[in-house]
Amino acid sequence: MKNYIIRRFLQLIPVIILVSMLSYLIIQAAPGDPIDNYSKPGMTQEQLDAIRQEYNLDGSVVQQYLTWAGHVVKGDFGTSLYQNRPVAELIGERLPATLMLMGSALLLSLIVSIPLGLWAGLKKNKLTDNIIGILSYLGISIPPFWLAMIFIIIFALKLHILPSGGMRTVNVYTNIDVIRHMVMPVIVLSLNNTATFTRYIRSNTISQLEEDYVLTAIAKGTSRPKVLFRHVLKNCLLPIITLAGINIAGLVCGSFVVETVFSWPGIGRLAMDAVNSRDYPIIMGFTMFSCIILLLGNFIADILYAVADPRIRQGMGKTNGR
Amino acid sequence: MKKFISAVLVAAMSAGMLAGCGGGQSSSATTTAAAGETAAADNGAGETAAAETTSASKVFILPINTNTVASITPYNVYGSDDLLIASAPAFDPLFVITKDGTRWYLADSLEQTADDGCHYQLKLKDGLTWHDGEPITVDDVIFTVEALQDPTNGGAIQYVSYNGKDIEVTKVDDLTADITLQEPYSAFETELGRMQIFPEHVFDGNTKIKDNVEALNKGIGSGPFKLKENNPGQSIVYERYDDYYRGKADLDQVVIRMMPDESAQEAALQSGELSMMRITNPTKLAKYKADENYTVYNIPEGRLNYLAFNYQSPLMKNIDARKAICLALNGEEIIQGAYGSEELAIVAKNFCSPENLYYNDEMEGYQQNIEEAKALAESSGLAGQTLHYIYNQQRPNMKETAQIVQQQLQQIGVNVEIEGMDGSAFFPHLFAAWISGSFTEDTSWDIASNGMDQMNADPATKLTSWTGDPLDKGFYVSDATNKLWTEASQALTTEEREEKYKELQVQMNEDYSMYPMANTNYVIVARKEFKGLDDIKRVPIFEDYLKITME
Repeated sequence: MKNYIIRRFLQLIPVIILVSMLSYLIIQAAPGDPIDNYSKPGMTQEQLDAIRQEYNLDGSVVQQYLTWAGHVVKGDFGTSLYQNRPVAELIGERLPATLMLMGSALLLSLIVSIPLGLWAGLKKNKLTDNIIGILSYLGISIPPFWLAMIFIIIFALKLHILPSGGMRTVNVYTNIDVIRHMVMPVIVLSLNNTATFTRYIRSNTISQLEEDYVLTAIAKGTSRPKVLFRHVLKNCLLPIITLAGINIAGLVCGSFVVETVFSWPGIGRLAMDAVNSRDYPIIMGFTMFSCIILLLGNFIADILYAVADPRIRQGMGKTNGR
Repeated sequence: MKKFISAVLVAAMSAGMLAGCGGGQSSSATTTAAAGETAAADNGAGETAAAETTSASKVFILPINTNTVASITPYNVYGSDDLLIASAPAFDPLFVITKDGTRWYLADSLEQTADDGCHYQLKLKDGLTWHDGEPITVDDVIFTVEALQDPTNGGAIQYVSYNGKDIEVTKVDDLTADITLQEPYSAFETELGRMQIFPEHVFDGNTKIKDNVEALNKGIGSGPFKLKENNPGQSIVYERYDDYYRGKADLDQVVIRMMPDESAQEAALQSGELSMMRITNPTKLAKYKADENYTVYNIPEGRLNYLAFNYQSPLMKNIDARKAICLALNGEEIIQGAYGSEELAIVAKNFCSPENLYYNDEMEGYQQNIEEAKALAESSGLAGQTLHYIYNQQRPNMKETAQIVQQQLQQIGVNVEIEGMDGSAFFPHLFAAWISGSFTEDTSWDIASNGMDQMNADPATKLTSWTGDPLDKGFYVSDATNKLWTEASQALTTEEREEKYKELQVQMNEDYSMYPMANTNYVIVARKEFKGLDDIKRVPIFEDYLKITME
């Protein structure tokens, strides 16, 4: 197990390097020069060159990349061209808001999808299953920005029970207030995952219920709820671990839309502004952050999967034995 | 092991959620109100009052179209409405010159001390204080001027350096300074007056202010409101400064909310989470004018939206081709089609806005003449060509304008291929000739629509793109225009400036160097309980927060 974790971890490194190289190249190819933010009437070429040098914008793309990578290895993601503050500090400042949104959305997806998926699986092809199926497909199909607008119209403008956006009410400093502001963005951000997870769990429930061990347990007189929650549920959730890991990246991307529509002060909006102002260090910082989150999500999912499934642990043992 | 990992996972999620709950707190809060200590009040939110628990009863909340305000101290605000709006409650200008006269803020007077147009004396008002109680003196003015003149700060050098020549400020006493220009400049008073000064003591006298992010975000200013909280990406909360030299404001707080999405702004306005927003289309204008819960204010924006001709494009070097386009277009139709109402924009007559000093209101502007335009298009070889039209899709009404221009130019046999792009891609094309510090050839576009904002007071403030060598500027500039520009900007008397600037407006129309399309209005819809939003008709909003009241 230990060797497996180390091996999987080492596999992440070349992926991160490759992503960073590609991202750097793509950003450099975009139109616009970040130095334009500094270009003012009366500035000499020497002054502009000095600013280019200060922000590592001189030299070839390869030289710029190597300098950037050298600093990143030392934990320095550079300084924002526009805000003149360390990128890590800026991301760190906005990260809690995004993590709160992502974490809550993931948690909500799991809390809702597990019972719904089990229920639909148990009621295969019956009315309940069909209703849950229709809702799931709707959840997968509805664009988040559209749903966000509908929610705002209903809950903020018509019913006046939730704020339309932002993270806090002015002059209010309670967690309850933050939670009220979270309700709509979390539901919107979680919807797609909830629907996907529900479909997976339903499908797994149906297949698990047809397994011999379930028939044996029932034949031995084990109660149906006990079979369902002690045996079937465990096996149903295994693929969800992997799926949740992969979908973390989707949550990061989804936060771009949700944060914009709900004026949520997370890293998605920071990145949007950075793209508009060609703030390369922040764009790279955000790209690497998303990449690392995705890879770590997969990494943790793989490990959890191995922990949860003895067959995989056995497989590892055989591999290690060779 | 499994239980342990499950527990870790749940704990991580919970920690993420709770971290966020605390993460939204202000980064530089100077005061905070503990939960439970706040009192319920009507924030203008009506039915959402339960959510608007606040210790301040008169809170004015306005949006800006950016997610990022890098510095509360307005050192790099030139030309950015959003940053000027964000700093206005806390930082007063020295004075404001408009076509209607001068309004004095921190400065008491500015007098010319010689007839050469290069020597002035500035006097500050007595008894001014920064928000931390320290006195405001000429040392702060000198500090600000030097900080802005240092190009490494990337600050608003336009206030204090004209045509590449810095002004010099010397102290006479704590409230008096002598100012020397290297050559006369008609916009000097306009530019200097707009400058918002910074407290020298907060920066320990070090003019490398860009590197002192902490001091920049302390936000210690001179205006009627002082910084209470800076919530990055979210809001800036200002509270009333009771020792303000012009008296106490009626409002308790002014809140700047970072909210670039127009739909989000409208939802927030309707739910009472915003006090006002800008509207740019006739449908919304009609909707809010008909709603008794709102008041619509109309402020001339002092902006010129124009069609630029790329002088690097071979097609646009020919004056007959440019003239053909100018004569093919119909300004009235552009206003009706792109803006939908004269309340949102009026036809522009020349490169100035009616808010400018020396505006030539006798000019009629270009008049559509399809027959002559067709003949010119034929003779110049423009007919049958396809022009590449670019515009900034982040600006309102630009897409509609492009479509109407496309239709109108079809009448003279000119095809137009339209491309909308983000501002970050658009401006490097539009100003390719000079924007990155050196000439860049760009023939990828022929015509473009753009706007010049803050076209109020002296017109020289916005003319740098339209003077000098056309190959260095990217737009056509005739020798006659350059001569008039020099004469006007260096004229010593108001009468002479007026004469030359009016001539210049006629000359630029004769150069066919641009097609002036629209002078836009800044239309605001505000909740009805707020009054006085247009007491001062000047953009960027709001110059004087003492004028805004809440009933």
